[in-house]
Amino acid sequence: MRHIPEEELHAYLDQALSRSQCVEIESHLAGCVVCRAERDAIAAVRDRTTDLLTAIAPRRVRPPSFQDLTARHHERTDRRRRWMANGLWAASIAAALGLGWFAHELSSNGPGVPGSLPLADANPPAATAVAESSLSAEPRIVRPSARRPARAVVPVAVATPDTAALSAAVPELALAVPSPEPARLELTTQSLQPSGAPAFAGLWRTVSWDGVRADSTRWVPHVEGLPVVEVQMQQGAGGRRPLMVVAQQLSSGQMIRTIAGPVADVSDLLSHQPGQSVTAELQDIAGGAQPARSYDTLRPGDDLLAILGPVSPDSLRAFLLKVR
Amino acid sequence: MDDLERLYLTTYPAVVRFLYRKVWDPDRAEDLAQEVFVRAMAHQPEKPRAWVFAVAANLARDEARAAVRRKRHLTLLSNEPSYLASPPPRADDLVEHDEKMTRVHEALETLTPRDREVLLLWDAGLSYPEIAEQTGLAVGAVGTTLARARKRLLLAYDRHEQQSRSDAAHS
Repeated sequence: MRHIPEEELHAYLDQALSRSQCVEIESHLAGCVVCRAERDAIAAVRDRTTDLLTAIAPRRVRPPSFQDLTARHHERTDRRRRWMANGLWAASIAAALGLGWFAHELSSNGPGVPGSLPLADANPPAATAVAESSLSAEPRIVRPSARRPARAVVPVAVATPDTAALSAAVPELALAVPSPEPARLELTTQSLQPSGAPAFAGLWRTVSWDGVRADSTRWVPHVEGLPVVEVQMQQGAGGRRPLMVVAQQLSSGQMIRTIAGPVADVSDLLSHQPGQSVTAELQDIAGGAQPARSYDTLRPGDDLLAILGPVSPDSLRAFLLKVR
Repeated sequence: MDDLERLYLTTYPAVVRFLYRKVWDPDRAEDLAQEVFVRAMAHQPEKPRAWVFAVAANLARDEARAAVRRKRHLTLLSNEPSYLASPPPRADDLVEHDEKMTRVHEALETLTPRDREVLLLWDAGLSYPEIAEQTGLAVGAVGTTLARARKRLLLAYDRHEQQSRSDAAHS
């Protein structure tokens, strides 16, 4: 007669087995004295274990009230919201991308030339240190500026020698660039006007997130980890790649929107937003005036990735790491 | 009462115990437990119970790593393993209880990290599927691991108890 294996008896006593498995075991136990003894022994082992573990517990656990915890949570999100409203988050994003990288881009032959920057560029230690300190602790103002607009715009270009290298490094980022010229991905973040959601011109339809993920052969722009509220897809016209706007919600309730697509299309979309200009401004990070860059420095075939709305530094950092 | 509040009221003590058995400091354990629930409010996880214990384990592990880094700079004078920290003595405890706690602590430390983790998660009230998800084990392997962990815990405990009893007898 096959006896019940030891681990099965443990699982049985832990009530981790299905009803039918239990019935099988019980009917066997009814007719097997050896297994009954084994079951009793294992039950004793379980009880002793629980008894021993009870001994290692702190005395008098005093849980704070749930309201106290809720207050702590709100205080934390309020602090973060205030921080973002000050535009300080933009400084930390710039820092996270690597100070050295910006310096390289500026000192190279000019924005029109594809950079020879390798994709797996390790952040210079100084930049990483700044990023860590500005993202983790209470935010330090990197460069306070009275004229810093409430809507902070930070462009980052990931210049690559060729699409193949980029796709190889970030498999989800399969840029379907028709032109043989090297493609670039420009990133910009813009704060939404407080009045709320942008209305995008043109014909849009709402699609399901799962549907889009399932049949999209290319990377769908979104910030990982945030709940997706809505996906809007533009009716593709004239053989152009349809634009996609993914709306996600922060824990504070604010919405952000991520768009990726050909520069002309995305900047056209953005330019229809009231009161927003598409001109990008480099943040004043390391000191010294940085020239403003506009999107006419990008070339045909380049893609533009835009994030509208405040993004927490953690989410944005994870997102940017993914894109790089 | 929302789900998270209900979870908090029912599992907070278990989370504190779980953390205590990793950080061996009751105040720190409570601090971390509260931190976990505050974070849960921000994240609103879909499977809150499993999420809470996963985050708790991560926080405890980060603490331990920081502590190990600090300890590396110190010269160890005794032969005791550096990870073994004895629980703080309390004036109102019976001497017996303290001995038992220390002995159980020592016995727990003889388990492999994987076995110990599974045992502590089960003691915290997680189900086999939840334990499997958090530890990366197949659900079927959870029973095997628990069987082994329990046996070894008792063996180690009994061995130490016998040891100290015979030491006392011979002194």
